Amino acid sequence: MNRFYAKSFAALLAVLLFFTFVSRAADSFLVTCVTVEKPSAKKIEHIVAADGTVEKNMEFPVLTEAGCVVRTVYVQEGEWVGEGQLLADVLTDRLAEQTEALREEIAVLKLQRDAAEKNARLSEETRDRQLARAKADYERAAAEAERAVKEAEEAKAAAEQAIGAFSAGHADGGAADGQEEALAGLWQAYFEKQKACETAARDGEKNVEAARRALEDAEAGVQEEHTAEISRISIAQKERELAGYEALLAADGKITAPQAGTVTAVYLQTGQNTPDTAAFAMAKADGGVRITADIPAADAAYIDGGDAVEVEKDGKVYEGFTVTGIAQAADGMVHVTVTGEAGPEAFRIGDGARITVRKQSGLYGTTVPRSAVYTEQGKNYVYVIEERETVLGRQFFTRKAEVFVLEKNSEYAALKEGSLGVDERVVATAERYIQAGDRVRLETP
Amino acid sequence: MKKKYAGIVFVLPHLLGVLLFLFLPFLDVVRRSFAQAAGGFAGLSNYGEVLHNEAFRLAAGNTIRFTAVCLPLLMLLSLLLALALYGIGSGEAALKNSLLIPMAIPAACVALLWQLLFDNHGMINGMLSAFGVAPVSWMSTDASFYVLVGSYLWKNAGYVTVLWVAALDGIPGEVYEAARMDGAGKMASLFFITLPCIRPAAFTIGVISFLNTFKVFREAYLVAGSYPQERIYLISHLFNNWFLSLSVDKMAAGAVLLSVVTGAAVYALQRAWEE
Amino acid sequence: MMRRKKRTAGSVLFSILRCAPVAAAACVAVGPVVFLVTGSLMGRGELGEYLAPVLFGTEGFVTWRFLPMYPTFQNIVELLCDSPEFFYMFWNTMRITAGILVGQLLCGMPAAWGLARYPFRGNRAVYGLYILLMLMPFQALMLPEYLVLEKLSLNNTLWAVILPGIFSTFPVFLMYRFFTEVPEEILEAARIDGAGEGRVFLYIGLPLGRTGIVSALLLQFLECFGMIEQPLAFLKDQTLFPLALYLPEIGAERAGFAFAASLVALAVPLLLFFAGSEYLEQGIAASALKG
Repeated sequence: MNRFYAKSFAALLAVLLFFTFVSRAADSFLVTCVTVEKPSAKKIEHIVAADGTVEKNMEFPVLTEAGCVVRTVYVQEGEWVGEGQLLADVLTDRLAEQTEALREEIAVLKLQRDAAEKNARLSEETRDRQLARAKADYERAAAEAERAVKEAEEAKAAAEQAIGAFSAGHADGGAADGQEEALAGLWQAYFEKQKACETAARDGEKNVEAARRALEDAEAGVQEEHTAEISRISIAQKERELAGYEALLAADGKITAPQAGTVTAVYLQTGQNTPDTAAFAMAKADGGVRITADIPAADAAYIDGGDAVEVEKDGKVYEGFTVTGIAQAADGMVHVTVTGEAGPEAFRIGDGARITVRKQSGLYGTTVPRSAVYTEQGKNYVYVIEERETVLGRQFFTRKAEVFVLEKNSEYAALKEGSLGVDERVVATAERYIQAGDRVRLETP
Repeated sequence: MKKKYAGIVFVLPHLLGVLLFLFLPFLDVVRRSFAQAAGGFAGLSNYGEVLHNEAFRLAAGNTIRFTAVCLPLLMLLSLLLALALYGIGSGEAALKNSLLIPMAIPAACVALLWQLLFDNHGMINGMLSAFGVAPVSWMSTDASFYVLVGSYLWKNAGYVTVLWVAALDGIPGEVYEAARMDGAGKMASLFFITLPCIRPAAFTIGVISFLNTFKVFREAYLVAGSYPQERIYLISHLFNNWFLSLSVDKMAAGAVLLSVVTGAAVYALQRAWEE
Repeated sequence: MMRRKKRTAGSVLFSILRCAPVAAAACVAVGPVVFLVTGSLMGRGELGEYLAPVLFGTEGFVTWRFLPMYPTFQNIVELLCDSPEFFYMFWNTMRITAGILVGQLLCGMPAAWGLARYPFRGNRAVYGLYILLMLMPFQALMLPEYLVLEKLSLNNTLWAVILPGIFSTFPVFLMYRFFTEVPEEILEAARIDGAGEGRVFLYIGLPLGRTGIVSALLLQFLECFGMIEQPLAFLKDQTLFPLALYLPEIGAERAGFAFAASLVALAVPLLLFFAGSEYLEQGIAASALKG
């Protein structure tokens, strides 16, 4: 009995020792290792970078005479040309023919113009004459009328006077029979004179009226004759055209670049006529560089107009660019335009360049690593480390704490003040999925 | 002579430890019993305070009652068992071993079990109600006293029985032979040989059992806490609570009283036994 | 002493009469262990069902089944593999026990020998002192011991429990009784042969007194596993708690686990107890006889 129990006792102790290690191993195996960090004060920096393309900026048209036939086009879209560089040329013989035709046209027009001018002069003279006559007639009629009226009036007055005189002369006496007749005759004469006055007046008015109408008609005008003017204008136009052709001819039919820049569009085709719109579109050399890029809407939220942009091209970094345009594009992307001054030699249209916008927010008092923040059902939370005294000593447990994220980038998240105590530690990374209340082991205690 | 000093050398390390960890505290306790908590002589006022203290009276009364009930009960019960066990023949060893088991079980192991047994809805009540007896609220009425007694008996009876058996074993067989020859019957042997022969053992067993009555505090504390039901509020509980509340002066006086009473009792018993 | 068994009807009845109480006592003694064993083999569901009146306050009484309906090793596995705390506490207890036992071997054993065999001046006084201190319950000396430990800055360490345990006087008492029985002649003979006191102690005293030593150590081992008051008073750190303070913390909701843990906690001292039970019996018996 003695031996047996003694051996059992020893065996039991050995078993317990063995399982001590087993349980510890199992425990540490099950305990997740995490790294922790205290909240710190940081600025949240947002770096938005994208690959963009250099686009045309500050274009201007290169014009040339319309209607010429293009012989050769020497440049292509996107090509850089210096000032005066040959862009295209047109057929000179054709051009010469066209010029000649134009000259003749102009000569014809000129003749037309001269004729028209002379006609115009003549008709004007006629008109003037007629006008003068009408005026004279009118005046005369007016004068006549006046005179007639005056005469009538005078006659009337004389008759009246006669009556008066008669009456006066025969006032005292009896009326002889022949007096009454004489009086009646005087009165009749008077009435006749009166009527003559009225008639004269009427007639006079009528004449004057007629004369006035005639004058008006004369003044009213004669059909305008513009032919001359039209001709003159056409001549001017043609002459201008001619000048252009002549200039082009003088330049041997060559179309050159007025200033240095990049050809952004070519509207000429060999054998076709030059259009009356631009022959080429070019981007000014000193017009600055424009780069566009598409970035996801989420990143675009951090970019504002006027932000400084860093442009990297071919290994070199250029400063001085700013954001000048933000527009919605398809697929939730945002089209961003960046312009700046830079040597156009380095930035050819169509080239690729990398744009980077760095935005720093204000200083946030409480920031934690982004990996510390979890999202569930729309709420954000972190796991805070709680130290607890247990029978095994000091152990660390996790506690879920809801937080409010003010701003975040891929590295850090800024939390609302008061979300976390200043000495609290949050789980930054965990080697396994953890839940609230889990026991954890700290990576660097 | 070397021999003389050897003794002291042997004893010294332990003695020093005892002095430091046991005697010195004891002296300190005695000193404090005459002092006020803040320092300063208090004469016998602490003793007076303690003796008039309600809790002390309760605890002392309970402890004395408990000891008075348990000790004789234990010793008698186990003696009877020992008499039955002794000479039973085969299986004696196994029976002895099984009787020893309760002694070896730490109190903490059975605390939960005690709770399950003596709870109002516990197993004991279950059995009682199966027999048509009304359930007893063990831990919250005076019945708790019997729970404690039962716990004490369960733990110590087996052990004491084994001791009694060993004591019985120590009586030489010849004495019985001689007695039988003289015509003594079984009962006579029992009363006139057995009992007297085990008197010395009874003393030791008594002392050991007495020491163990204080250990019943363990079960009581684990099951019922610092302030159990009235009837089982023992001196140990009282001192524990005084310790927690740092009632130094009362503790000191109480401790001295306790030691004196215990010492006196044991001394008296020893004298009586050796007569 | 052996009685010859007479096969009369009376003696058979007598046999039964005497066996019954003993058997009953044995059952009562072992009963709780049976509970623990069966309980630790029951799963949470089954235990919940039986213990519902206590756990949840439902009607009725706690019931039990001595053969689990759905036995499981779940509790044992949980105990052995998933509970580092249990082992932590267990080894705390073992450390305390080892510390005290070693200390008692080193200090107490020689002390007992010295007291037993050397009638130096003050021997009686020391003996009396030891008896006196032995009789005092822990609670009486609790506070000043605490203050002494505080002065030595030992509080809240395992030494606060170990050191006072080493200098407990009961084991010395036990060993003393055995050492007194060593016949002086043997010692004298050895001395004459030129052995010094040390050798006498080591080579004669120890072997002859081993019963007492083993039984003292055994009882002390038991005591260490059961200690509650000292750790409770002197230890504050939960990490230092021995098993005896940890087990009650496992609530009734984890009854199966608690039972399994209790089983292991009692198996250790019990096995040792059985291993040394003969020493124990002899030991206590002898000291009991001598009074």
